[in-house]
Amino acid sequence: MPVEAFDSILAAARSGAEWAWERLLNEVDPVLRGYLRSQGATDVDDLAGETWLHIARGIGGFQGGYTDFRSWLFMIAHHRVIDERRKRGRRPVDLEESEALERSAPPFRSAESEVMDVMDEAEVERLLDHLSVDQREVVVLRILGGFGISEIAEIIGKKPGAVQALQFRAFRRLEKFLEKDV
Amino acid sequence: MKRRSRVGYPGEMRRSKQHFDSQIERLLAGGSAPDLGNEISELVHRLQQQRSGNTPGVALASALAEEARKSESVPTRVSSRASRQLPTRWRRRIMISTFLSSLLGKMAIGAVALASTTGGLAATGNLPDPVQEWSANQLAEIGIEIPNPETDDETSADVLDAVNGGSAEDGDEFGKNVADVASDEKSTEGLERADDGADNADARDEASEVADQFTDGDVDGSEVADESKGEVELPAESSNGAETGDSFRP
Repeated sequence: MPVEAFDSILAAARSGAEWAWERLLNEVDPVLRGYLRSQGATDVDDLAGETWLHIARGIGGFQGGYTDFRSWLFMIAHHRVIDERRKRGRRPVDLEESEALERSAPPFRSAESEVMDVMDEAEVERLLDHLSVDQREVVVLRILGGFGISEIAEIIGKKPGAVQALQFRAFRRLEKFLEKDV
Repeated sequence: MKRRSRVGYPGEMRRSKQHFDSQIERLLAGGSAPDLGNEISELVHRLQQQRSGNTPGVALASALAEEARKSESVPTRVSSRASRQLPTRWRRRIMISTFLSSLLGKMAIGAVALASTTGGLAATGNLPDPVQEWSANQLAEIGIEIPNPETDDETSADVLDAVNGGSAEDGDEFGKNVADVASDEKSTEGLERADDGADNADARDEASEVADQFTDGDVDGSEVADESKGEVELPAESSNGAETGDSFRP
């Protein structure tokens, strides 16, 4: 998004113009929801709504460009995901819900069929499941969010060197699993 | 799309984190990354496409616009950095704790402690004389008075000199001041009062003795009355000593 365009959209969004919020939603929301889903959020709509509400409340004092805005948005989303994980950890497991999830999970496929098929969304998810929480978050923010190392470091509250190391280890691990599959 | 076999990594140098990151960057920019495996390249492309197809409703945009209008009247300082999103109260706490944990903060705490201790000692006059004198002079300029060894009339040193300066020959072996006190008019007057007190005590003893004799019944009241006629003037009704003496007899 061009700097001038973002500045005018930001000013309009601050004053409560609906068209500006629609533009921001159309621009960033699909990536935000993709990120939330890849992080295992159970209620993506709820978390996305909470994140945007936080943005709307604080946009009056926001200073920065489009990249800063995206970093801010994903930082809030990152914290919401952590909160949800904690809540889920405290909540007792709903057996009916877990059984339903089990039934809806795709059946196990052989290595041969995997080689012949294209890599679909479920397979990507399955591969990401082999990663640790931090590795998965770094990979998703890097690839899906399109953030640089320093921006990811700011979003997840780690040093850039640590983020780079997480990314390196994550892809090495993914390679290992892909080699096994092939 | 079929999977292709992965291209290997010829050199260890290529496996560095920076090189890896630059390869990812090339892939994200739509270029090719020959050093990464085909599977990884494919995974990156698939992951890039995993955006949600659902477009957010107009209702959400309307709600957000309303929320922004509400919060516009109460502006908050928010930026992309997490530290700037903290409330003022927390920012102030962090600043104070950071300052106190720094070397400068520790030095400041030490200086304050030293100043308060010195101030307390100076206020009670317990500093060494030169320091006390200097402190008193400095504080006197701003209207604060503390003990000053230079201007005080009587110091412990003067008292000690006065006490130690006397001699037994002069009768002031306990010190001139003590000798002066002992020889002044007040002490003479005190001695006279002490003598009067002793006389009074003797008279009281005699009266007590007489009273004991009366109690024992050994003394004739008429004799006492006769003896006392010449010395004591008795009231008219008690001029008859025998009556008095009888009344005393048990």
